[in-house]
Amino acid sequence: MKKLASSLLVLTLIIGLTVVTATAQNDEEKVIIQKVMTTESAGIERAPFLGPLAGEEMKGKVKDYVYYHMPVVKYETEHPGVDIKLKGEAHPYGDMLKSMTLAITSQSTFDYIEMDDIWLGKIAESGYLSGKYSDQYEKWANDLGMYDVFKKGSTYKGTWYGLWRATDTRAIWVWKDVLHAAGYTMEDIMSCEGLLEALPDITKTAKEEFGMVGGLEYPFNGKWVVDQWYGWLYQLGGKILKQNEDGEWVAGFNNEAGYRSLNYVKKLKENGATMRRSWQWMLANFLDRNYAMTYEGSWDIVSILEKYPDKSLQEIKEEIGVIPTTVFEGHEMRVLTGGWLWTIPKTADHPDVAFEVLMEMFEDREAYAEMTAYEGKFPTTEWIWESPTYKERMIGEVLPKEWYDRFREGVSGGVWRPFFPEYPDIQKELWDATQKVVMGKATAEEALSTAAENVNKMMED
Amino acid sequence: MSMRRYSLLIPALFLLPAISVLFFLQFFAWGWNINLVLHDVTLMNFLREWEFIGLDNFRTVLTDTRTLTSLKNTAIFAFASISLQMLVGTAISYLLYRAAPKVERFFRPIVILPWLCSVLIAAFGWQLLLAKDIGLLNTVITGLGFHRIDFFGGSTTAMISIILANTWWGTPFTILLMGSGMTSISPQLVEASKVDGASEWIFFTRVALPIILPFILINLILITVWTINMFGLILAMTGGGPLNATRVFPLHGYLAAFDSGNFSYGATVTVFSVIINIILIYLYVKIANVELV
Repeated sequence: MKKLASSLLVLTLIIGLTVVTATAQNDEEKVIIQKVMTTESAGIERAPFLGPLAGEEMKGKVKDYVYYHMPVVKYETEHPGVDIKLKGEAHPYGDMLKSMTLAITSQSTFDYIEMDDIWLGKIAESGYLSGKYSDQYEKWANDLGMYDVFKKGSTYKGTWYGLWRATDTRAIWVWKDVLHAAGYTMEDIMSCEGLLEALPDITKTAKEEFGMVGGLEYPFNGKWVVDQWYGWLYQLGGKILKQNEDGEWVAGFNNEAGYRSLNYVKKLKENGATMRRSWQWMLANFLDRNYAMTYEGSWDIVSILEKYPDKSLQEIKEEIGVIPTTVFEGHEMRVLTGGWLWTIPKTADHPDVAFEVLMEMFEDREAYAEMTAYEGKFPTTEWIWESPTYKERMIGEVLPKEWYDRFREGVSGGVWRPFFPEYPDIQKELWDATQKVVMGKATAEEALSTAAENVNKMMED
Repeated sequence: MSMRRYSLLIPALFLLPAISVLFFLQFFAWGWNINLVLHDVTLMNFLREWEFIGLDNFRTVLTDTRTLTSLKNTAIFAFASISLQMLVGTAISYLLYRAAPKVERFFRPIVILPWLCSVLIAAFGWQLLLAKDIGLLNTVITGLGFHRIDFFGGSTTAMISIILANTWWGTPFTILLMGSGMTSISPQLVEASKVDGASEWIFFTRVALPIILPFILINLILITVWTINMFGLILAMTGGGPLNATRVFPLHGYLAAFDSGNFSYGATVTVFSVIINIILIYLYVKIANVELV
């Protein structure tokens, strides 16, 4: 009897261990852990356009509209038994370059890094990013009619490192009740001169009648301020960089256009704009009705909609107004537009899976259009702009038609930052110049002349 | 092996693992740093072959105008912070020492609270206190009928802001250390001074000060090293701005390395920082002429 019991026990143990081992092996085969680096995005708790992060439950509109279009979800559906777990690291925008720097120096094994187009040159030059999928990216971009500027922004030295998946534009958001109480309409503040003239009254009304902190909150921060200024610089005929007769790239801002546009920023401050050095609080400040106007971007639409889930688009439009930027009288709208692209580092643990997941995003056109609209983004391809799915979703549920038209005008007159590795350092020079002028430490001529000298030296080296 | 030798060997063997780890960590960190200093390493060539450039990085750092600015800022920041910390810390510590035991027991934990905060919490607290629109101080200022002050918008006010924040954060250490020094004053000496009719000032300068002098020196050395190397608080409060007005030397190195991706430049700045610290400590010890050990 004892022998039988012992044999049974041993047998049970053997069977148990076999089952556990088999299950473990099976699980190991199924689960693919992929590391994602992205930036924090107000109101979006996922890797944008990619999929839900591991452990996050999707519900509400996200679940209804985009969950089943998400590339990771679709990849899993097409590969039964595969379970992709996205482990995300979301950094504040201002820390992203530093985080990527640390990823490079420590050879981190991220499968995806989502980056602002302005950093691509610098990161690609380091050799960290994989150029293995260049040909496929190029083919996709051509097939869908990606605009040339976004193609340039997705490549470095002829190699494609990802695809500029969507774009956005800067935007001035306005509480219409304050504007009207001050005696102005949206049309009055659409010109640079009009906003300057109205700003003291709007600020006064905001403070005295509405108990607000100020009229216009302006992002006076190294990472942002120059972005807003570029639109005005380009409207007046200036450029960040231009090619000289010898074909060399030199500063294109040390001229009348540069002086006038930079002095405009100074005048905004003199007329009552609050220069905000920590921009992260700005939209929250606006939505909490601390300021009558804020200068951020089109991406804010997602946060605005989430702030007022019970209001219709029509109601929101009646309360809030938006313009991409102000325009100098007699000139055409130019406004800075930017974008993000997913890239795959060479050190990725599962680069081929990452690429296949990205292609899931781009190859299902309808799904891609749906997600672009849901995120409140603007397309980088002709096909999506014209897609009925995109238009229907974007105009019907995300943006009022009036806003959509304004933003489309903004994107079509978009200003792009130069696709050079030196750009982040050029931006710092322009930030220094802006501070000098706004703080009254130098004239626009002096500040931009010094900046031009430094930028030219940088480009020469 | 003689008994004496054996008794020396045993403690040495016990210490060996700890010393080896420490030596390795120090050696590795310094070796890596020196390697960066001697090469031209940036974010863009980090994963490629590094070009050996000898001592060129020292020349680059020394000829950069921002280096001079950051050294000047460091001097102002350190001198003001250290002086304030010493004065305020010693004064509070002396008051607590002379106060009734009940009062002392009540206030001592309160005054060391700032030191228990991380510098980042201190930085955000001071940001909220001094913010132009929503800051508590500006609310008081406007309540009194004056115009708001943009503390972080002006070069001088930004520097004053970081000095105040650093003093607030660092003073409790001086209070603690000076407090320890003062408790070492013999009660007989205090009694004798009372009997001789010495005033508070005479007691402090003639009796207490000579006894706590070694503590003052240790405090000076430590807070000098900490203040000169301080950058977290400044990075969080001003980021070195406006217009580099609060760009202190360590922050200069940090921004060069992690903002601009110029690792060799940042490493060279750290070498200069260490040299500056060593010189200052040497000067303190020389001037004070006090035996520390």
